[in-house]
Amino acid sequence: MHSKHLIYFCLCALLFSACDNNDDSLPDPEGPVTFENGIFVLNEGNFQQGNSSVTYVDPAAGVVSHNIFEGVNKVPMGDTATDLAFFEDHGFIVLNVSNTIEIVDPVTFESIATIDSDLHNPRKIAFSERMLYVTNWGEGSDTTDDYVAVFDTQNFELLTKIPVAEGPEDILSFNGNIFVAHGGGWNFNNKISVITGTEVNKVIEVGEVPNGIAAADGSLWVSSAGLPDYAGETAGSISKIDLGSLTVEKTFSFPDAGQHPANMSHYNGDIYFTLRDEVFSFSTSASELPTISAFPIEEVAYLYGFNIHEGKAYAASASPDFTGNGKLFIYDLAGGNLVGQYDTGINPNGIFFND
Amino acid sequence: MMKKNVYYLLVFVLLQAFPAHAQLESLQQLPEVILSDIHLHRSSSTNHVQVLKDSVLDQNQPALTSVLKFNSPLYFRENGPGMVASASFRGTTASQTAVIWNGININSQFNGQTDFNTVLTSGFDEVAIRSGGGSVLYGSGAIGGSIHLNNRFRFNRGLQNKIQLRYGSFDTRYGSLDSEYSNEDLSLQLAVARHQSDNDFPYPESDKINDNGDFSNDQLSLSIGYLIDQNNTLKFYTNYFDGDRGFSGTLTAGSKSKYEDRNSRNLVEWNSYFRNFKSNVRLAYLDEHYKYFENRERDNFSYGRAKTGIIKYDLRYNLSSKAGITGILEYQNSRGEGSNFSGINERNMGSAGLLFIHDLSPLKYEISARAEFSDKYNSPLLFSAGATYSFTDFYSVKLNVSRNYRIPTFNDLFWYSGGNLDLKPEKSLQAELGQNLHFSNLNFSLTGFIINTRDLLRWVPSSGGLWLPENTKKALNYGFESTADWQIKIQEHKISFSGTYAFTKAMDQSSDKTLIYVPMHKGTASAGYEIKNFSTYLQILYNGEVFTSSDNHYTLPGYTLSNLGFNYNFLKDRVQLGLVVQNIFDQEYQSMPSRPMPGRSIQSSLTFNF
Repeated sequence: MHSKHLIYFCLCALLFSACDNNDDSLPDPEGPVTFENGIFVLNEGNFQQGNSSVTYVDPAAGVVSHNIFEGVNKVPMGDTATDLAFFEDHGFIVLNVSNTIEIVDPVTFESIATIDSDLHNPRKIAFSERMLYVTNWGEGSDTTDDYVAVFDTQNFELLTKIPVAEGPEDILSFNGNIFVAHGGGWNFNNKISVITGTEVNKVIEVGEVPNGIAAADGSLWVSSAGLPDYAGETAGSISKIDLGSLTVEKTFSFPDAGQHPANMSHYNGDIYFTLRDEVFSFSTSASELPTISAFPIEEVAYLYGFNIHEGKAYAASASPDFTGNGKLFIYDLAGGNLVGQYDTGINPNGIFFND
Repeated sequence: MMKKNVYYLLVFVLLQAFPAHAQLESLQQLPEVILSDIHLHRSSSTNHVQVLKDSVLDQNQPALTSVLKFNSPLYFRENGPGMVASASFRGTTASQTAVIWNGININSQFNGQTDFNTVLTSGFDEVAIRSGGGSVLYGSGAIGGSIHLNNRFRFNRGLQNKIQLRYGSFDTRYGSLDSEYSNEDLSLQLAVARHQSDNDFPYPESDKINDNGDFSNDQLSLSIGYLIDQNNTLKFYTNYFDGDRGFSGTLTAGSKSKYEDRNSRNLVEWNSYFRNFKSNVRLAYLDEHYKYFENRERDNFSYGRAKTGIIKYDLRYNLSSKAGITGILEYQNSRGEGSNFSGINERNMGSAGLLFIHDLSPLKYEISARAEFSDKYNSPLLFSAGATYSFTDFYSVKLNVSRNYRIPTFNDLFWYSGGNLDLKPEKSLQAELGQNLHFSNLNFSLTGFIINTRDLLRWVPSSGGLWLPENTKKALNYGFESTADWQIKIQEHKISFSGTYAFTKAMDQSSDKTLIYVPMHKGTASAGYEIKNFSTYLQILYNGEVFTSSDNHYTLPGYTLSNLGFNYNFLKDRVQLGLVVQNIFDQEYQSMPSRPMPGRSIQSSLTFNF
């Protein structure tokens, strides 16, 4: 029996000595412990791998901090982050697969609360008068269980669930109304819901698969991708909706079925959108779509997030196979020059500012 | 050496069980009588073949994943115990490991892989691991290597039964019945097994448990062998697997989904021998069917179902007692349908192959080639050439060069959003050089390999946001594998050791980065000790660190697992009591990110032989 023990011991010793456990899968944040005046990049991570993160970039201070939520709070942020927003004294992060909303102090990123009930496939978030609105797909395969959940922004308790059409995605708060773009989730849809208070006040039909909304000068602007080729490809379109009458005032249709616009934005009296790897802009009073792009964003491997802020365009690029770190590219809006680039976490899908 | 052992074993079994036929037929015919996968032992002498013993199968958990990860160089990634598990062999992808059931390739038509947690080892007499290229003999996916699940017929043994019951942590239950009846010319085998678990183990260092990870698997196998006359044999095999499982949540997300597998495999085979010819006709019918429920409490599901018919004809002609030539013809038709496909999609494939084996002891060489025609893709000409040379009776060297492939799957070709009919098969050119030391109680092998793969199929995002399969990447894999085993008996004490080690480098040739989920080091070791009715064993597994992102920025750390088991036999070995402690050191580890695996757990077993 002695020989047996010796054998076990030797085998264990041999194999354990070959094994080292260094868990460096997520780096600690570097740089400041407060996050002000900078750029927040939301990284979706990978489905069911729990590696969503926020990267903080302060170009003026030359600071890049990765994974700030986990760094500050010592717990993973969650799975598949889809939106981040700042409202009053709080930061809100929507985690689609975790079915949670993390609420943090916007300056320190310390966790304040977590909403972990009444969410089902939550997507995007908006605020109006002490109320938090978040779009929910429900079951992806069920076309009738989609809703907008409304929570109190002070105590984070559910106020109501508003049933809406299939696939509510982008959401925008403007002048007391909440506008919801129904891209369709797992399916396709072509609607904008207008919510006033806790009621759907109107449903407006737009082009197939609305994927971006912006409000400017009395109008709501909606980019619709059009159908992808496997569903009988159709060209995208841009709808201009009159905010007074809540009717479509004009539809700008793209000429080629292969054209699928995205990332509708408004800045300084102009409308911006992206088409493949180019940024286009046109005036809110234009009668035609622009035919020439404002500038290309060729550095982007795969455009996954986009924003325009204070004279700059921010483009988030996922790594080519979506497994590794992405990049943030910053362009000067006037000339389209690349003025900065930074590493981000995995699959950056949004760029946000706390102002 | 492994091949030789098996051959001796087969001959031994046959001589004991079946003296009449053994005398009538030449020894070369014997493997065909008892085993359907004739090429595994007869035409694979220039590849390394590792056969796992029954005792090894009994020591491990019922699913194929467990036995292979603790006893072979294969690396597994698992979404948790009982969840989806895929293998990587020599750093290749999950669909470049072929699973061969009684000589028939059973990888899924949908994703080209086998989920190793949907195969129970119960009912198989032999589990073998054939390293290296084997597409000429086994078709698509035999690039890294192939896993062989075989039934073997024995004759003149009467009725034998084995019942095994196991119970352990997380309400894990297992029960199996293996019955075998044989007379002079008929052999019947029946195996029924059920394996189920709540699988709700606590996540280490967390207040969470493994949520929604329950599973329940049933498997039924039946094999019938009938010796019609001295020159004709008829065989029938069937295997049915029925598995229901929740797909477990993760550290940061719960889950409500459920997955059902219903797979059946059927094979009829007729062997006949006349003059110097051996003829073998096989008809196989495979049916795979899955259902995925996003929410297990609701009736909505998506599904896929594929039915495959195979007809295969092998004709061997013995030029002399030392040389044989075999022609192989095969036709395969697959039809698949499902929620993610429009209508019924069909794929036809025909192939013709030629195999020449020449034994010039101490040199033996094998040359083979296969041409294939399909209505859905263009196949390369496949070949394999190898030689083995025995310098002494205990030392031999093997060399093999081959071209192999992996065909586009139904998902790659027909998926409603992105399916691409212009895909080419993945192609590999590979070589290996092995040496074997073989003594009466010590075996050792060391095999170096290199695999150059091009046209690797990947789903990549297009600019329109759609993921599309494309032939994109080139990979270069190289490394070596080693296996060793040693037994010694000192008076009443029996001591045994075995181990495997694989060193693997797998590089994306365009980025020079290491491919994800390929550990540089993987090792296994086991030790056994037996005295009278008592035996004990220790199993150790080491998986090295793996990259989880193609930029090689993110990793999962390596880990070492150890299991310790005890068995006690009584009533003249008719009853066996067993106890095994898994993960005795309570190692925290993850096989996939955000999915902690269980800490220490216990399982007991009771086995009756009658």
